[in-house]
Amino acid sequence: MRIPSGNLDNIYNLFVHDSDFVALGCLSFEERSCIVPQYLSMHGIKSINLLEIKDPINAFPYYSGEITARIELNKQSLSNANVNFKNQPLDLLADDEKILDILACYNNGKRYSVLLDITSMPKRYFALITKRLLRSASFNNVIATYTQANNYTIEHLAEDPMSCDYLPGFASMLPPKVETLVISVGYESLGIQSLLETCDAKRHNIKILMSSPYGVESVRREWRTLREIISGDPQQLITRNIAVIPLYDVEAVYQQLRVWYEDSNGITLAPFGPKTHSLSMVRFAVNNNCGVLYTQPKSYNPDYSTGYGESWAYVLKWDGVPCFNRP
Amino acid sequence: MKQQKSYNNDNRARNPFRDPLVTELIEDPELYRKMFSEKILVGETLSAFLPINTILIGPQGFGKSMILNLIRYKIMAQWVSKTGLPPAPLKSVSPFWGISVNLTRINFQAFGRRSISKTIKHGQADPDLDLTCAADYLNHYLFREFVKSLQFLFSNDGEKLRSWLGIKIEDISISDIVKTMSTWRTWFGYYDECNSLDSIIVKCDNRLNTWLSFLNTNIEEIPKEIWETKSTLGEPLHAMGNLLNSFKKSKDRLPLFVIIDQYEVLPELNLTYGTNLQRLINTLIKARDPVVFYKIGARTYDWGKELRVWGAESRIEVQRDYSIINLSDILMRSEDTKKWLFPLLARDVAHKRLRISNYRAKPEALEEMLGPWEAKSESWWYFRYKKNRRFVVAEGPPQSIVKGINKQLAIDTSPLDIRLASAWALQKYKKLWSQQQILSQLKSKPWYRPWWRKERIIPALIQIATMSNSRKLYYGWKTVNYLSGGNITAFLLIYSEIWDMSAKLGLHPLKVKPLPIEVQTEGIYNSSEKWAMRDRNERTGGRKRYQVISQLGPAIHDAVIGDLAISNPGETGFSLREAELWGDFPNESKNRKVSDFLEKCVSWAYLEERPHTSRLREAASRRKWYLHPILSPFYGIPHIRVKEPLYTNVDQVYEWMFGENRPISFRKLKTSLSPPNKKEGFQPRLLRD
Repeated sequence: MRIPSGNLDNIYNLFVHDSDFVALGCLSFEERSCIVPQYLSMHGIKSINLLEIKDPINAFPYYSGEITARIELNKQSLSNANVNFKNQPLDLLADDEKILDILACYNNGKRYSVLLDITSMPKRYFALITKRLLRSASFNNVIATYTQANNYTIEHLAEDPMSCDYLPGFASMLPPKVETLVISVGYESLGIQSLLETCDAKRHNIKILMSSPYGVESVRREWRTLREIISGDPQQLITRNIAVIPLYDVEAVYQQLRVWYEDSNGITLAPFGPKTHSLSMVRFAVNNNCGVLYTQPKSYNPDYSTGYGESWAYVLKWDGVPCFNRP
Repeated sequence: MKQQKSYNNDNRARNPFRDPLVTELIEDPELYRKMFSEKILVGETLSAFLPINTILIGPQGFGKSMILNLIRYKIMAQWVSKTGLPPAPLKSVSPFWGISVNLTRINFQAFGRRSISKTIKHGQADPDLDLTCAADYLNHYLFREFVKSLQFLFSNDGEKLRSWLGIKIEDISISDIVKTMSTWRTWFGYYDECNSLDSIIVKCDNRLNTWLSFLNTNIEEIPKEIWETKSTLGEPLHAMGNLLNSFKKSKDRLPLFVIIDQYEVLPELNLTYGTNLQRLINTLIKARDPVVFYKIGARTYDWGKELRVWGAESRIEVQRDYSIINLSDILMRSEDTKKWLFPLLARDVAHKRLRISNYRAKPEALEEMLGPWEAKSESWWYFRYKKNRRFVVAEGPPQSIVKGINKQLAIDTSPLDIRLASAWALQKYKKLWSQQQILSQLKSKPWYRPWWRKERIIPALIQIATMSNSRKLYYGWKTVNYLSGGNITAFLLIYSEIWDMSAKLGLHPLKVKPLPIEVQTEGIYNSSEKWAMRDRNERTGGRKRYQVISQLGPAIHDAVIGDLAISNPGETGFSLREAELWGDFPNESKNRKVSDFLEKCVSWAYLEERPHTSRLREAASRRKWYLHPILSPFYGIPHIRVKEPLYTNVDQVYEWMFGENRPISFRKLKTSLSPPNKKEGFQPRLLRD
C-alpha cells in the first residue's frame, strides 16, 4: 500500500497524534463540512482555517439566501462545539492566484504538516491546493480527509455548468497527443458533452471510472450519467473501458489510472465523480503531468447532502515524500 | 398500430444519424471528407475561403466548425489526394494554406489567472505584461503549427497538395527555409541554434511548455532565455505568410489562413483577462496583414461583444477589417420556401451518413422514409377509430351556430375543415355578425381563402389534437425540415431518434416506406425533449434558459389552445423594437438583461430570431422571436410561423424572464406599446387582458 488510508480516527492516531498540524477545510452549507473540524478541534488541533466559498452572482439557480443561512447555522454549530477557526471568504471562480494565496502564509521557510479536509471543498480549489501541498518543500506531511454524506438530494446536486476548461494548475502539456480520456462518473453529467468536444479523444479511447455507490437510486443515477456520455448508444460502451472501484479506495483508482496510462499515448482526466476518486486523479495528474478537464458548475443545491457518515483519511505525503513516490 | 416485437439490434447499433463527436469528425480527415456536404455549404460560404478576414456566425449546430475545418491543410490534403482537386465549389478559388488553433485546448484562457507580471515585478500585477506573454505564446504556438504543416508539405504525402498550391519541391531548399525561419528577427535569437524542422519544433515545444508550466504552478519563474526573447503579436505570422509566398515562382499569392477556435469562451473562462485576450485576437485582425488572414467561427451573438484592439480604444470594423458570413441567413427558412437551401443540405448530409454506415440507399430514400405530410389527413388521424366524434372540434361558437355549421358541411368534411369553419364563424360572431349572416356566408366556404387558411392550419391541428384528447402528430419529410429550423444538428437528432424508434420496434427504417406515423411522432417527441434537456443540463446558462422557456412554452400553448377563433395565428412568438434592446443601456438595466438573455437563447438555438416589418404605424425596426421549432412538440406549440407575432415591450418580456409572477401569461398588453416618455417619467402600466 503506497497511500496509507483508513477511517479518520485510525489514521489520526497513527500519523498525527501529538504532532503539530494545521487544518485547512471548507465551511459550507453541508452539515458534514463541520465534522472533521470538530474532530480535529476536539483532538487539540489549534490552527483551523476554513474557506467560505461563494457562488457567482450570475449562477442559476442562485441560492445565496439559503446557503448563507445554512453556513451561519454551521458556524453556530462549530462555535457551540468550541471549535476555534479562522474563516476566509472566497469566490468559487477565483483566479488561480487567489487560490494560491491561501497557502502563501506558509511560505516562510518553516515546514508544516497539513490536514486538508476536502469534504465540501470545490474541485478547482482542492486540486490546486493538493498540488501545491505535494510539490512544495514547505509542507512536510499532508493528510487529506473526507466525510461521507448520509444522503444526497434526488434533485440536481449542482447545475449551470461552465464551458469546459482545465482545472487551475492542470493544463495538458504540449505536444498534443492522441489521448485517452478518463472520466470519473458521478451523479451529474454537467456538460460532459462539451468536455468530449473540447478534448481531442475519440469515443473508443474514453475510459470510465465508476464507484458503485450505496443504494439503488445512487447506482441508477451513475448509470444514467454514463448513458448520457455515450449518447444512449450501447455500441460505444466497451466493457474493458469501464472500471468500477469502491468509493473510498483511492489507491485502487490510482493503480487503474496507471494501467490505462501505460496503455496509451497520453491521458487526460475528467473528475466528475466522487471526491475520493477526484483526489486520486489529482494525485495521478500531479505525478504524471496530466491535464485535468472539468466543467465547473456555478450553482450548488443547498440540499446537496443531508447528515454525515464516516470520515476517512488519506496520507498523501509523509516526511517530505509524496506517497506515490514512496518505494 | 401493428407493432413487430422483434428487436432489430443491428439497425439500432448502426444508426447512421447518431451524433459523432464534432472533434472526431474534425480531426479525422477521411471521415470528414466522407461526411461533409461540400457542394452546398462551401458554395454558399465562399468568402470564408478567400483572402479576407472572415467571421462565420450562426447558432449552435449550424456547422460553423465543419465549414472552417475545410481550410486546414490536413483536410484539404485529404481532398486533393483523392482527386487532385479541391471540392468542386473551390475550383475557382485561389489555393491557400490553412493552420489552426483551438484556444481552450492550448490553455490560452489561463493567461493572467496566474500572473506572470506579479512574479517579475515582485507582487505588482501588470495586465499588459501578462498579455505580452500571452501574445508570445500564441505566436509560437502558431509557428509550431506552421512548421508542422511545412513538414507535411515537403513529405511524400504532400505531393498532390504541392501540385494544387503550385509549389515545386525542386525549387525549395529545406535547410534554407530552416535557416530563414530560425533567424527571423522577431525571435530575438531564440531559434538560432536550430538546424532542422524537427529541432525547431522541439525548441518551440520547450518554450510553450515553459509558459504552461508557469501557469500550472510547476515553476515559479520564466527563464531568462524566454523572458528576454518575447515576440511581438502578429509579427511572426507576417513572416510566415511571406515565407509561404516565396515558395511560389509565379506571381500568384499563396495566402496563409489561420483558423481560431473557441474565441467566444475566453471571457467566460477568464473573468479578469478574458476580454483582453479577445482584444489580442482583434489586434491580429485589425492589422489587415496582406499575407495572413484570420477565420473565426462564433455563435451568433458571441461575436461583437468586444471589438476593441489591444492597448487602444479603436475597434475592428466589419467590411473594413473583416467580413461576416451569417449561416442563419443561408440556412433558415425565408418566406420564399422554394429557395430554401436547407432541405438540400439535410438530404445530402443524411445520405452521406447512410453510405458511411454501409446502407445502400438513394438520396430520395431519406424523403421516402418519412413520406409526405398533409394537414387534412393528419386531422382525420385523430378520429380514425370514431369518425363521428370529429364534430367535437366545432366547439367555440354558440351551439345554434355550431349546429348550423354541422348541417351545412358535407358528410365527409374533414376535422380540419370543421375546426376552421368553426373558427371563422367564431371570429365573425365576436365581431357581432348575426347568426343568419354567419350561416349564409359559410356557404361560400370562406375558410378556404388561401391566406386565411394557410396561417391557421397548424394552430387548428393543435386544437384538434387537444379536443380529441390526443397528442399532436408529427411526421413527414417537410415537417422534419421545418422542425429543424435550418439547424443540421437538430435535423440529425430527429432522424436519429426516428431511426432508433423504428429499429426498436423491428421495422427497417429504409424498407418500410414511409415509417408509421406513430413511430415518426414518437421519435420526434424524443428529439424535442432531448434538445430541451441537453441545453438545460449541458450548456452554460442552460438552466436559466430552460426555466424561462419552460414557462413561456406552456403559456404559448395555452394561448393557442384558448384562441378558438384562431384570431391571432401568428402570436406564437413575440416582437420587440430593436431600439428597446440595443440602445446604450447600462448593464443592470432591464433592456440590457433582456437583450443579453435573448441573444444567448439565439446563440444556443433555443430561440429563433428574425427581423420583421411592423404592422404598427411606427418608424422603428422590429425583431421577432420564436421558440426553436424543434422545441415545438415538447411544448405543444406551432412549428410553422406566420406573419404577426405578439407585439410586446421590454417590460413584459423582462417579467417573463426575471419576474416572479408565475405562471406567465402570453397575451397582448392592454396599454400602448410606446416607450415610456422619459421627460415625464411616464411608466406604461402592464395591465393584461
